[in-house]
Amino acid sequence: MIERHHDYQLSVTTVPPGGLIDVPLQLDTDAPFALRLVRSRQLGASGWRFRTPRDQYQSTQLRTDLVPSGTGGLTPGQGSVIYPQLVYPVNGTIVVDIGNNTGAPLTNVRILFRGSKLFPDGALPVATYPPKLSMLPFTYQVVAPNVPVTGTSNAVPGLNCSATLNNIFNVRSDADFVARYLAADPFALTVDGGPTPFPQSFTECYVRLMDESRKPYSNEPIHIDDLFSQGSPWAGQPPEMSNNLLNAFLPGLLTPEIYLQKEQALYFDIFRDDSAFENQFPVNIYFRFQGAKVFQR
Amino acid sequence: MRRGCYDQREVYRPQWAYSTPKGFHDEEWIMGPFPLVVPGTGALALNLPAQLDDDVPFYIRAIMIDSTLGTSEQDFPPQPFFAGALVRIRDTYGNPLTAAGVNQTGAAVDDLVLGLGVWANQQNGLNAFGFVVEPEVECSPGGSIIFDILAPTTGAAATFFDTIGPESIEFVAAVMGTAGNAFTIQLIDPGAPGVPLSVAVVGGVRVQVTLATNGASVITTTFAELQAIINATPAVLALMYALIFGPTPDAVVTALAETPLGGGSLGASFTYNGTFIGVKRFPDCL
Repeated sequence: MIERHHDYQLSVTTVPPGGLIDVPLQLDTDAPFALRLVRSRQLGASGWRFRTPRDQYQSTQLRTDLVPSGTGGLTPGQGSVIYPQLVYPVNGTIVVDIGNNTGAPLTNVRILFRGSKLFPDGALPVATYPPKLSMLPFTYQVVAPNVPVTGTSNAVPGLNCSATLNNIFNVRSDADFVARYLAADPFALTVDGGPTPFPQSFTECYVRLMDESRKPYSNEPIHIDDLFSQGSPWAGQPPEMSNNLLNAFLPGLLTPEIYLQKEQALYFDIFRDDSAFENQFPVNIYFRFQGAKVFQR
Repeated sequence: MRRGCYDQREVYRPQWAYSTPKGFHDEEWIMGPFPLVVPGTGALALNLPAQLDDDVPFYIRAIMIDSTLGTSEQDFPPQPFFAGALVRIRDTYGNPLTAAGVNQTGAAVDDLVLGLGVWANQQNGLNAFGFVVEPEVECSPGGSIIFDILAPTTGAAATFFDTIGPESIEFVAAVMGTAGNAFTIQLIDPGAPGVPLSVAVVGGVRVQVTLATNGASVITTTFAELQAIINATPAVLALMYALIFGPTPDAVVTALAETPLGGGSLGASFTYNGTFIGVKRFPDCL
């Protein structure tokens, strides 16, 4: 069996007070999907629940993936682990109930269902470790400069995004590379006497990661902090603005890892719409692909 | 799991246990904090060594680069947070552990990668664990791990905050350092009816904004409009840009006499502290 990392994101533009029931998330037709993690954005403590492949609710009440902040409140966490995994069939549907106990509509709610697609052996051209090898921890970096604040792309439901397409991560020719976790941060180097960069930050930024044949690892662009995560999450943001665990580094873990042979590539598209926030400017995003070089011996 | 075997159905990636070879025993060893001194001006610091002991090989399994704390050693006075720096690390055999293409300007960055999320995070404070280095890196006795660090300047751009009630606008010099202290900003009340909002650069260092008025000669320019015209005018952007803060960006601004930006400063040298966590491998006594 071949496992391939995959994210399904359910985007709901408006969740009215009282919530929604029976919202379908249609799965792809290429392979069964093993669900292992659920994480929400823009939902707060209102909660969610979903039905299993046997069409039974996985919980009797709405669940939340928020965690205690240690000061009596709740804060976003890493998501709710689904263990044992739930395997949905090809072309299946995850039916979701979404809560809203705030008394006001919630906009652009996103619920991430993370896991693996399960392909039979031979269905995909995948590489794996050679019989004898040595490894070296390694980090590749790709910089996407000046990602615009907003644009006209509707690739992310509910947003009008700029689209920075076909960014390429190329593995060098000296060794294979196994990508295990990802990080992405806004950054601009400052030098005495050099230009003062605009404040570097992003909020509503989404990424679609694809393999060398442009087959995506998700059904729609995934929020950058769920796929890549930041080394410097919003330390100064008030909790209500943040969907990330404050002041903690949680790398975007690829499960399973992605094995890339020499000179193979991954592609990724970046979508951003920060027009709703003040003081937003084109941002340089430093993407890091981390894992290990694999040398054949 | 059999040694050296990897069953994809059981784990999401190979996890070979770090077993100690027969005839040896491992002892955990924490090296650091060791200093990494950088210029603090935005210049590249090359070949900063972390010298290892020369008794036995050392296997690095975790690393932490933090500007104030490595393990439990504290630095006084507090140094800047690790707000982001480009870093290249080479092991004791000269192998780089990073690869990078170009930066935001298209210039080659010589395999310096943003260290946040790789070997450091923004949160200051004690950290018992560090960032995992996997697989472990074998280091020769007496070898040196070499760091190259390109850290942002610790200097600042000149700024000026104009606050009216709960709303503020900050004018930020477009050049880092002391040069921006010569720039000025002036918000002019034209004292006439129906004047449109406009901006001009005078003498190469003075930004003069003529505020808009209504039919009664009352200023109508808002914080948001003021920010927009500043940031949309290339000649002004060469001197400064504007940020607004507060809950009422549509509040009306007031006239401001010519005011210099201030606080622009140059960077100064500072020290990152690094820590390695790993094991020393000793041969068993015969």
